[in-house]
Amino acid sequence: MAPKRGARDGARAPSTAADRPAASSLRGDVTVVVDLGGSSLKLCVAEDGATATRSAPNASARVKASDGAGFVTLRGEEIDGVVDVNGLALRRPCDRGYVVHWEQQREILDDALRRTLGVDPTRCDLIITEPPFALPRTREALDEMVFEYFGFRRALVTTPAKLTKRFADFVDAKKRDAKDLCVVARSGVVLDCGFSFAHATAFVDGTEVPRGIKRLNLGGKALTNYLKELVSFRQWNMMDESAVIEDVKEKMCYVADDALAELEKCKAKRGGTVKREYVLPDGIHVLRGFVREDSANKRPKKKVPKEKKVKIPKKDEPEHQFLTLVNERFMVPEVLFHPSDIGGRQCGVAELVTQAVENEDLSNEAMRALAYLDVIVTGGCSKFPNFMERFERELRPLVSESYMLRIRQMDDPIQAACLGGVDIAKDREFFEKHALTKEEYLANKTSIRAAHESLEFEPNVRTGRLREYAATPNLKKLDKKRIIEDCEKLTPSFERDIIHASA
Amino acid sequence: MDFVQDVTPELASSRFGVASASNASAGASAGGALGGASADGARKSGRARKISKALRRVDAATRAEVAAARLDSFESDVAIVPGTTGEGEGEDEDDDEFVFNENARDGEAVIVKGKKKAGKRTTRGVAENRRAVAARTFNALLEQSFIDRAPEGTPTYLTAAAGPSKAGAPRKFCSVCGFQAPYGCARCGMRFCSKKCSAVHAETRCLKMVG
Repeated sequence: MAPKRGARDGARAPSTAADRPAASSLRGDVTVVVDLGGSSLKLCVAEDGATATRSAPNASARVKASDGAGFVTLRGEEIDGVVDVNGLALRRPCDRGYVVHWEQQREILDDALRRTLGVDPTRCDLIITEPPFALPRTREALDEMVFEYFGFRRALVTTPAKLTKRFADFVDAKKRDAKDLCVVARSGVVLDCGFSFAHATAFVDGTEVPRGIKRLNLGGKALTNYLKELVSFRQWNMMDESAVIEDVKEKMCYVADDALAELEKCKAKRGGTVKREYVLPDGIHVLRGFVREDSANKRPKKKVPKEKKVKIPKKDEPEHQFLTLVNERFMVPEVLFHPSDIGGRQCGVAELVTQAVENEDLSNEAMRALAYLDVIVTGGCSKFPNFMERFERELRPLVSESYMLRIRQMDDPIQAACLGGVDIAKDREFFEKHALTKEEYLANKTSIRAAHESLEFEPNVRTGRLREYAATPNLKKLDKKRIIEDCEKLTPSFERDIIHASA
Repeated sequence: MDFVQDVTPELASSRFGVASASNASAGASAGGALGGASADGARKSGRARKISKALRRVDAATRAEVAAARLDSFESDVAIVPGTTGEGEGEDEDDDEFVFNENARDGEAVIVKGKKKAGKRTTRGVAENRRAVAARTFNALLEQSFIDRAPEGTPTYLTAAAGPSKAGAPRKFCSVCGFQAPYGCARCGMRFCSKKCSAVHAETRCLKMVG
């Protein structure tokens, strides 16, 4: 275990550089991509290609040392290796999606960069994400961490939505028609259902629409805590078992087509087909919980030899504790679609997309039509089974019939943003044009700070914040006429205003 | 005896430690005067009688507050069990007791500052811990940033929040078992679906909610 680093004076890079592993053994001259999420860090070296992305919890945990003496602090990837997950309490540097504990964040990132990736930050370029509308002080702290603590040569700060869009249009699109209308028009909506919140971001002409970014204050963390509350009231007290419940949520929850109909199913004897049992980890025989396979349908049928049935499993396996979920399995993700079910005042994710598109910045019919043509869904919460089907069913009635709706999900919703960053890093010209160098940062510190303070959405000073997700594509063969034609083809009842869109 | 009582705004605000003792005693004396004047045969003894907590109706403002606190607790990493860690202002209010002054008008309740178990609840460690956490939350940062003073029309964190849904009234689910709930608790407004769930609710959640 590494000695505890000087966390308090972390801002001064030279003093802390001394007790780190030798810089000579680490790699330089590469571009590091970091997606700084509320739940996990996704990071990779762009030069290694898309297969090298790593994911580690963006958290630290204090656990008992293996030799039994005292406690040790684990960070990032080390947490995945914890033997006994019972009572594992994670401390996260993020609160409501934005980093607030910067010392902790620095330590976690430091570990991830030097140990996991094995790079030397002072000789690397960086692409890092920050949620939209970060507060001025959060932005300053990020800049400070990137340039003064780590000392990256050049950095680009962007939002996960832009990177996802980039990935969806330039890498993922190869599977589809690369000359697809939305790729050419660089428009669409990205719905990112993350750990701390869900963001819907509308894009027009390659840039985010300022008023087209809408946030639903519900994410994976809230769902986990909600499940924790339900389970604690109904079965076992699991209030201290966030890590376990997180796993339960990921393995057992799904999105119902129609929650009320599904509830009726649950009223069948013994929970009907919905009921599943989760074997809780006990730290000795079961280290990681799992869903019990045979619990669903067998029991009600084999009623007669009941006494035998009870005895046999006890001999086979040590006495496990089960967590039985019935309607919790779908009522928890249901909250994303109906936040009012737990008393939230905001709309659900489907309506969130319509709010993002139908705002005053997108008054133009054509722009809205183009935005609805490419709805990209990403983020960990979109991994619930049946999420996409339900989302489409909810969204379609909310959107005017004159707009065509195309929805696609990222293959890997968690890594998508990171992979988009890899693509930007490969586009050296674009990267170098938009990135902020360390020298520029140090020279213009006050003006950058002023730009953050002024809350300008698109700062006029170069702050290293990315505005567009991609440079204008080559439109030699794909002229505006083609956009108009395609748009008309795809949205039948759509005639007017299209000229404005291309103007 | 009619136990239905309306918690007046002053009393409600006193839940958050706003109303002073003088306020309460003023209310008591005023109530006493009125009660003496009324000729509906009320007994004139000054004996105060406690209303059990279970009969105290929780007003709309408090219900909203509790609901918001619950949502807020979903955003935290550490478990916050209402009533055990004393999250929010819920602690002091518990020491106030609702007391019926028999001289008072029908249904008028007075708060008497309780003396019992004042220092018992929060240990120093907990209090200090809470203070340390409070200084480093996103909400604290948000307050310090004054982005609510940004010129109108500037898109900020606050304006980016999604608006309410256009869909109709919220659906109602049983707070005990999760099925659809046609009934609501008369005291705290939480939903339940059956007599059985109602009993569980009354036993476990209803008291906890305000406590």
